[in-house]
Amino acid sequence: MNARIVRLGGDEHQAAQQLLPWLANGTLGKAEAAEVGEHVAHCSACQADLAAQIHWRTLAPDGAAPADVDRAWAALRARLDVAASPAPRPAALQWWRQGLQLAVAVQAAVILVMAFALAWVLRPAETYRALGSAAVVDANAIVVFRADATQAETSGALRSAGARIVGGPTAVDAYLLRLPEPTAAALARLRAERAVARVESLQSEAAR
Amino acid sequence: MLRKLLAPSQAPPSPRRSADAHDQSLMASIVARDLRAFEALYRIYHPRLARFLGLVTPRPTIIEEALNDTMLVVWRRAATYSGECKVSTWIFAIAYRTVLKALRTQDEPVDATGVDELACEDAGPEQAAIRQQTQATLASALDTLSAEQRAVVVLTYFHDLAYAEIARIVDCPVDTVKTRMFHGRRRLRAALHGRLEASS
Repeated sequence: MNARIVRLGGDEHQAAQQLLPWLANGTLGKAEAAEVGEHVAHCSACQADLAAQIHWRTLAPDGAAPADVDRAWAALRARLDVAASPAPRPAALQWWRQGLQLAVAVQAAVILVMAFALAWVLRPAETYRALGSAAVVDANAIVVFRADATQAETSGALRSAGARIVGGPTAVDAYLLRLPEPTAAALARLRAERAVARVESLQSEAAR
Repeated sequence: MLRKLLAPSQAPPSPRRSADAHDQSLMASIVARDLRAFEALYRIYHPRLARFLGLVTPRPTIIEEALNDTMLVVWRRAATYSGECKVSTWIFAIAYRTVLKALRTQDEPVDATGVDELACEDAGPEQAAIRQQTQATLASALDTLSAEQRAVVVLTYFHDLAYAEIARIVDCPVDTVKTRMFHGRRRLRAALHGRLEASS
């Protein structure tokens, strides 16, 4: 590919002189290399200067003797042990961790709300009832219907057990029931219905 | 040689690109606190940094300390490497700042024994002796430059870096790099007094 030659602005010799070191090390872009090269081709001073710089490059001094790499690494390794501070985490990892923490916090909050709701529902029966007390105090069982149960199935289940819904749905989609006789057999019958996922008595053993 | 040099330059050689890709890969592991990756990077850059620092300052105590200080910064601040420049440019920039700081804080007289040892070490065949002598002469001439000029000269002649890359390393405009190089060369030429030309 041919390089586009860009004319040196102003003092051509001065501009070429400034770029000679990078012409010598071969890192000039194509356009600049062509531009400087064209000047050097007809400038004897730049040719001599370039030749000298090429010669200098071949004489790279070794500098002071470098330390043995194994010894130097051991010295640095010891400093790493001393300065074992936690490194800043990559942004993606931090976002992931923050997201996880938020999800855990939300989950904990939901569990807490559900626990309070359930505790309220399952609290011991009140010993004192006013005439205007809510119907919930009449509940003696709690039922959770299957999500795919039809209206006909749930109604059929309630009818067969002689139960009626007196409250709900609660935070966990449970309904409070009033069974005529909340015996174990009655609960078992209700539990056997396809529409029922779970049913429990709200009365203590002693009260039954 | 001159004709070959004046031919349009080719695309950058692929080994440099693959070397940078390898460096980038190591950096990603270092960010994840992989000590083995860091050791691999250290062993790659130890000779290069030792050479660079050794030519910017002839004081062996500063070289060793600045080298490990540089790599300690690489370890601690690996996550701040943005990938906008080559890994080598980023590391050399840290080394440059580190050595300048060390030179400013350690205001000790320059120990010239390093150069003398360089000239006398491993005296062998006549050609090797002449070469060592000329290397020592160039090293002495480099020592007449300021640290800023020396860095630009060393990175250009002995590390083959482009002026734009050097500008990133020494954190100054490209024109400043060109100017430092121009004046550095002039002082080098004056310090050499034609001695190198005579030996070539």
